[in-house]
Amino acid sequence: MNDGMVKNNIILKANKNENYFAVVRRQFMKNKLAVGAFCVLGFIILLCIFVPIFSPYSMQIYFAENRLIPPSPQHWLGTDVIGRDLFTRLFVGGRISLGIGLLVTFINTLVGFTLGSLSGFYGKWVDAIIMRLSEMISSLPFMFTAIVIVALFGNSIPTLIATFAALTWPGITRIIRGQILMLREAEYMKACEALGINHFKRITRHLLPNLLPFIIVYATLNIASVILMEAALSFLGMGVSPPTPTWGNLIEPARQMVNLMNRAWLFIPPGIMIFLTVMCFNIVGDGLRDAVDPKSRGR
Amino acid sequence: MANKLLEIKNLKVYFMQDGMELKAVDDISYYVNEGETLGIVGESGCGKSVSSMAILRLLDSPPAKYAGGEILFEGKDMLKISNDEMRKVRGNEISVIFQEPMTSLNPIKTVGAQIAEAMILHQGLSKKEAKTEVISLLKLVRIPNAERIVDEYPFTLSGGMCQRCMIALALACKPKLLIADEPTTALDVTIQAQVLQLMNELKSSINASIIFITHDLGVIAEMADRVLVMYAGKVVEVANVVDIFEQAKHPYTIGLIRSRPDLETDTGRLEVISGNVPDLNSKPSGCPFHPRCEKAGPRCGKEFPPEKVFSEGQIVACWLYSEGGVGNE
Amino acid sequence: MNNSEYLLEVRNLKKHFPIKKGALRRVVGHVKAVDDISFKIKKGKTLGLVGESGCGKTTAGRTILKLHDPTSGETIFNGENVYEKSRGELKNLRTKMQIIFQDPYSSLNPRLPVFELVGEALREHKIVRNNREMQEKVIEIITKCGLTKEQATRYPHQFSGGQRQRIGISRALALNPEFVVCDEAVSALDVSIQSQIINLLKDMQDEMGLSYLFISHDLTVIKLISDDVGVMYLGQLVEMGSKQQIFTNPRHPYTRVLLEAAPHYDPRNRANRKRTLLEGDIPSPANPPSGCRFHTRCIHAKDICKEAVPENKEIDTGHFAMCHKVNDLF
Repeated sequence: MNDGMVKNNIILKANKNENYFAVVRRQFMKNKLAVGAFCVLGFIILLCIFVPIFSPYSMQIYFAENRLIPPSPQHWLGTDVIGRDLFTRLFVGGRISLGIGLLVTFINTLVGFTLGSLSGFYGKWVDAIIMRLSEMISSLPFMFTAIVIVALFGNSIPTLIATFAALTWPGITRIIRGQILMLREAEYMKACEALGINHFKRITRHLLPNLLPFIIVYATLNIASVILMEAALSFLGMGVSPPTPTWGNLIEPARQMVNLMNRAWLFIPPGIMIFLTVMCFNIVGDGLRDAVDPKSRGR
Repeated sequence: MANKLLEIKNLKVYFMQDGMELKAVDDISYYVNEGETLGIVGESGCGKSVSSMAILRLLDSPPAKYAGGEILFEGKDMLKISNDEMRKVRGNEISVIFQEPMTSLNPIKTVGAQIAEAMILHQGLSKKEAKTEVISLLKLVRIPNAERIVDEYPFTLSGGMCQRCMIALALACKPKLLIADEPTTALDVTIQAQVLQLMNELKSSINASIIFITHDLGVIAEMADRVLVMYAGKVVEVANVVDIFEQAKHPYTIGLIRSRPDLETDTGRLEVISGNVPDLNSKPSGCPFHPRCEKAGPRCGKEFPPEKVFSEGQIVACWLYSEGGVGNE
Repeated sequence: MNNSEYLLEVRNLKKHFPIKKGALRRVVGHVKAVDDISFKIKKGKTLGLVGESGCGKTTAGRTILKLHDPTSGETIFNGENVYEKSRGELKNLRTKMQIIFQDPYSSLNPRLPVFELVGEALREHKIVRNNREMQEKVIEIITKCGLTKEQATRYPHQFSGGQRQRIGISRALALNPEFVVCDEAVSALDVSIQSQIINLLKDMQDEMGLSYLFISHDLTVIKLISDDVGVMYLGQLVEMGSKQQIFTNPRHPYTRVLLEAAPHYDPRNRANRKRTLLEGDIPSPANPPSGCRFHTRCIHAKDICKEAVPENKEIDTGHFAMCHKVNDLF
């Protein structure tokens, strides 16, 4: 039989044919801005991991005599009202802010994926209940609701994460539901049905891999918006409570006129970090979206 | 000889992609006489739409780049005139009918308002005058109840009706040149027959030249006076419509005509052109058709052949008819 | 197994899609996509189904394969009713009945290489025991369909439209089916590629003894590939007969119009061609006209056509038409 064909083994050799993710990666690499943003993000994350480890200062220890020192060789970003080193606190705060962003997004994605799939696959009353619930949640005024919840249950980090997740899951749920409804009708899904491929494989091999890019894009953009929400809440003093730093409560001193006028070092660095991080996440998210969207890739 | 209304000389339109130049239209020349219908036929990616969209500079630039050549419309080079002058030409002296009638009309304006807009802009009519004009125009394209349809929104109309409205819109300012880009491709056969019939009748009454772009040889046979065959950005053959169907000379044209099933003859099996339609980014060298051509020789892969002019204006670009032939193996 | 000359028989098939409106998703009507059609397909032969958009030809093809649940009627394949099959039996039946789709872009999962696209079902139905067998089998079928074995590891985006359609054909034929629905299988392709694919489909039919239900809006393609032809209008089969009967002696006014509207490659005589042009547009299948559904556009329509549904008359052996005037008109 065709042994010659199999023996020469052409078919088993991995060759330069790219799979879908390789194409996405190549497409993403073409977007110089997005690649730059990706690198900046990586750098920020590395700093957040390593600066607190190698810093000679602890974020907690303070010396009253070192209060409010402007940036200097000992304290690169100066010290705060009670004499803590701000360079260290900036990156410890980064850990918390980024951590909250990642964790909330992770929960959101999980919840959104479960509910969105249920909604998209079952339709009917399951869909109706989930969609009405998500509409109710999205119509709550975010800040007000968050402040009420924090006031009721305290402002520990877990409470905050739960609050953010509870208030932001509808977005991704709707996106996943919509994508599933669309992908379900794709002709290749019909083709699978016609070929007698079983239900489980249709979902895991054909539907989910096509859903994944949209989830990744959405998750990236979601991290950015959670970081902003946390910062806003902490700035108002309703977020993570001191002494634990976050980028949000680090900019809090700007609420006092004396700091705003004379002590720019207190709030400008965390402000820049928030700005940079959020912008980079958004640029990376947009870049990913362009890379996974087949329309921008020709055909 | 008839006067040339439009003359395209050595037009090159490239698309920039990933730092590469994709030669969508690669050094083509043709002309359109006053009052004639020029059919442009070719397969996907052959540049038939690009070459005519270039006439009105309707391509987004970048990625499109007008890399050379001239487009002379009544002696003016359309690639050189200012944007203001171009706006006066668009929809006024030259107008376009697109393939998708549903998406080419603005869904939030009534059909009448859209047609009137061009008249008010270019001809300075008042709103009231324009409306009576629009109604008579809709009657001309045989829209029943024109008085009612004039105030309808496009989404309430069927595809065939929308395409009639598009034709009315294109005729609103009595253009000298009408570019019809696959105007019946999205329509059903019976509706296509209606629209083609309508266009044929209008042709005599409006006295405009038409560039009719299509992939469908049947439509070409119905509509065109002269036919231009394009392949991968090049013009391979030009001839009057009868010659194209009865004595085509370029191997591609011959293949195209033979590979079409038709209703008269009862062939058991179709002749085929082997191979695939080339992508722009992997265009063969020399004559782009040579990898699929049975008669190709070594010379075909090296140089694009010069034009050979036969009697009655039939022009063919193929080494078979040029001095030296296709070369020896 | 049955020994009759017919492989597939469709009896009084109906498929109505509900139209839902309002917050409560109440059913306010039905789109009668397929409304009582019956036909038979002989073993190794091709039935061409022709009609304009919205006539229900695609729905008919998919309902026959039970990709849609039928509203009523039956499809008998090899003597057995497809709609009475259990899930397991239906799955086995899928290897015998296949479909080729119109759009070579959306019908292939962009994430999978040709091996998986074509071979997945072989594994699912345990036709092959291991990967090696699957690869052999896939290579065998794709080379028959005009691709090379080197292309088997590639992904859909690396192919042109015509090559993608070859992948789709390989996928359908890999299971060694007896019956294939070709749903506008060549409509999305370039002219020079269409003829290649039509020839391929004919070759595979000869080689594998396939029966086709060939759905198309293009009469010229239908004429080329079909043995029998059915003409659909608004969910009904208005005329049905052998290719010869339909093309040389069409009896339903709609079939006539379709034939006259089809392109003719004869520019010399185009001015003298006789053609009847239809007035107006295709009515909505949600609200089809009373009586004969074609009466709103038919130039021969009389009062009776508005009132009574014409019966399906047999004019000649195997030649049916649904028209009141079938014996008076032509």
